[in-house]
Amino acid sequence: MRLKRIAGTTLTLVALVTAAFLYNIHAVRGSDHQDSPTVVSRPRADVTDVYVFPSPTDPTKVVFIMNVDPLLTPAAAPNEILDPAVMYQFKITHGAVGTTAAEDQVIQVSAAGTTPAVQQVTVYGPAAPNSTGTNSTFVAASGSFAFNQSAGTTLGNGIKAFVGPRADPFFFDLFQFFKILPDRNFSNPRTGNTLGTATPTFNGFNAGDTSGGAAGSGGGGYACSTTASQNALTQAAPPGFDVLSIVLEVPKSLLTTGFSSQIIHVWATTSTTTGT
Amino acid sequence: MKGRSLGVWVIAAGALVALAAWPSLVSERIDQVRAASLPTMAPIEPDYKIRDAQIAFWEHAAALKHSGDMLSTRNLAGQYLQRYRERGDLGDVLRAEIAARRSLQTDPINNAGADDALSSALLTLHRFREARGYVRDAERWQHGNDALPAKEAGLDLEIGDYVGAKRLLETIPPSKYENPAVDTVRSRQLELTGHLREARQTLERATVAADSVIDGPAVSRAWFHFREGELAFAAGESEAAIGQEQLAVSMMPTYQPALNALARFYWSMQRWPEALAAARRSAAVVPFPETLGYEADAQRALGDPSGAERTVDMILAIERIGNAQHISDRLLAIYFSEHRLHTADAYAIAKHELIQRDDIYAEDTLAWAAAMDGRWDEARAQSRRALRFDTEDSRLQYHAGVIALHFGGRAQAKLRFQRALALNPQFHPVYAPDARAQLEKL
Repeated sequence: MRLKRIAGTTLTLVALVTAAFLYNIHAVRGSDHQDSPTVVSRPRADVTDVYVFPSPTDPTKVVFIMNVDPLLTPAAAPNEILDPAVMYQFKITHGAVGTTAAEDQVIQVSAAGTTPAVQQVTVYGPAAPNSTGTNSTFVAASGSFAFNQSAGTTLGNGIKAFVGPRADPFFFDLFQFFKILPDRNFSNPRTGNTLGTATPTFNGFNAGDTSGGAAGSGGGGYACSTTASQNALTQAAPPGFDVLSIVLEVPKSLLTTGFSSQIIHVWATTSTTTGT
Repeated sequence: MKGRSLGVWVIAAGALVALAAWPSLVSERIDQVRAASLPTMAPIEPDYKIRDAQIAFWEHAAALKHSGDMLSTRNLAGQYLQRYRERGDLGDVLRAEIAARRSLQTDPINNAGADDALSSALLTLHRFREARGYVRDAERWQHGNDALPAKEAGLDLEIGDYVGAKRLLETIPPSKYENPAVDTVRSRQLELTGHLREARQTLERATVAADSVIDGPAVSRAWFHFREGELAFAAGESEAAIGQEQLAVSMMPTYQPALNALARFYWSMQRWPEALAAARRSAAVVPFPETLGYEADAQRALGDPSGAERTVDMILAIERIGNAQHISDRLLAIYFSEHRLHTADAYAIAKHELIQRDDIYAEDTLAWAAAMDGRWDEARAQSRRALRFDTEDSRLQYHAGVIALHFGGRAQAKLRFQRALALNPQFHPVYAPDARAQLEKL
C-alpha cells in the first residue's frame, strides 16, 4: 500500500556522504553518534553511518546500509525496532564527482508494528522523489518483509533487504581525540562550576605515552591509541554496542536505467511528520 | 391549505432542530478534525524492565577506567537517574551525582551531558542553586538546546525567582515546533502565576508531543499524564484527573507519583476504600509521609484506628530516619500541620524549607504551619506572599481564607473560601466542607 503521509522536516541529515561509482567507492566524510539534542531524544532517528559499496557476493548489485540508534547495549538491542513514525531514506543523485545537485532518486523505508516479533518493514522505490529537499512523501512500495530475518528477503524488484540489530562497525579513539581538542584539553581544569582560566591550547601527541594521565594533571603528551576507544566503546562489556541496520542490496540496473551518469552520490535522512 | 400549513410547520420545526443541533455537530466535527491532526500515540516500551541490565553494562564499562572515558560515567549517571524516577530510591541520585562528577573530572570542558546529569541529580536533592550552576555550564557548551534554558527557568521557579524564570523563558525563540521540555516549564510557570487554563493547554500540547515518540522512556510518558491529572484536579475536574493518573499507571504500573496522586484525589473525595488501595500501592514503592498520611486517614475513616496508628508511627519514623537529604521536609510539615500534630516541629521544618526553596508552596506551607502553631502574624505575611500571583490552588485559597477570618477580615475570607470551592469543590476532605460551613456563617 502506498502511504500518503507526508514526512515533515528532515530530522537527521546524513551521517556520511558517499560518492560511489558503481564499481568503486570514493570519499567518506565521517560518522556521528548522538550528534544533536533532537536525535539524542529520538535515537531511532539518529543516523550514525551510511555505507555504499559493491556487493561482495553479487557483482550486479550495490549494497546500501544505513545505521541508526547508536550505543545500543546488549540489554537494549533485542528489544529495539525501527520507529514506525519515521521515514528512513536513501537519497541518490547521479552526476560527475563534485555535483551538488538535489536527489533524483530515492529509496525509502518505513516500519509498522511495535515489537521485534511483529514488525514489518516496507521498502519504497528506487524511484524519482515526489519532491526534493526536506519534505518528502512516500513513492511506490516495492515490497515488505519481517524485521530481523538474518537471511534477508528478496523483494519483487530484485532488492534483497534486511533490517535488525547488528554490531556497530564504527570505531574511533574518541577519548584520545577529546584530549587533543583545544577546547577540551586538560591543561584547563575546572573546580566545580569554575572553569580554568588558561588559554586552551593543542597539547599535541607524545608518541609512546598511552597512559593518558590524570584529569587536571597539566595535560600534554597523549598518544593516539586506536585500541583504547575500541576497548572502551565496543569491548567494555562484550559483545559491545549495537546499532539498528537497514541493509539493501540493490540491482545496479535499478540505479542506472534512465540516467546519463553512472556515478551515484548517496546520503541518508530520517524524517518525521512533526520534525521533532 | 391545512396540509400546506402543516408542511410549513414541519419544515420550520426541522430547521429549528437543525439549528439547535448545529453547534454540537460543528463542535464534534472540530474535535474529529483536531483528533485527526494529532500525531498517533506511540506504543509504550517497558524500558524500566531492562534498567538493571543497562546499569550493569555501564557500571562495568565505567569500572574499566579507560583513560579519558567520560562517556561511561556520564551514561551511568543518566541510568541511575532514570532508575530513581522509576523506583524512587534516593541512593540512585547520590550514585548519579558521583558518576556525573567523575565524568566531569575526566572531561571538564564541553561535557554538557554530564553537566546536565549532575544538575538533575542536584535538583532532585533540592540543591537548587548548585544545580542551576551546572545547567548554566551545559548551556555554555550547547547553544541552541532550548531544553537547557527551560531547565534553568524550572530551577528558578523552584527557588521562587519568578521574574528570572519568566525572563529566561522569553529568551527561548518561538520555534516552529513545540518542545515538550520547554512547554512543561512554561506550563508550570503559568500554573504558579494564576493561569491554570493556559497551563493546562500548554501541558496538553507537550503531552501530545511526548506521546508521539516511541523513544520516550515509559516513566517520562507516565509523568506527562500524571501532571495532566494534577492540573485537571486543580481545575475541579476530578474524574478527568483520575483518568489521567490511571493512564499513567497503565504506562508504568509502579509509577509512584501517579499512585500517590490517585490516593490524594480519592482521599479528597472521601472515597476511602479507593484512597486506601492507591495509598498502599504507592507506599509500597516509596513510603512518603504524604502517602502514608492518606493511608492513615483512610484507615481511620474505614474504622481501623489501630492500623491508622501504626501508619502514623511510620510517618514519625520516617521523620527520624528516612528523610534522607531532607527532601520530604515540606510533606512532613504539611502532614503535621493538617493533623495538628507536633505543630512546633512543623513550623521549624517549614521555616527551614523556605531557606532552601522560597517558592509559593514553601510560603504557603510556612503560613499554615505558623497558623496551626498560633503564629498568626507570620501566617498572614507568608500567606500574602504565597498568593501574590493569585495562584489557582484551592488549598492556598482556603488557607488564606482561614487566616483572614482570624483577623476579622470577613469579606476577604468569604472571597477566598468561594474561590477555593469554585476551583474544586472537593479539594480536601476536611477543608472543603469547612469552607462551605464558613461561607454559610459569613
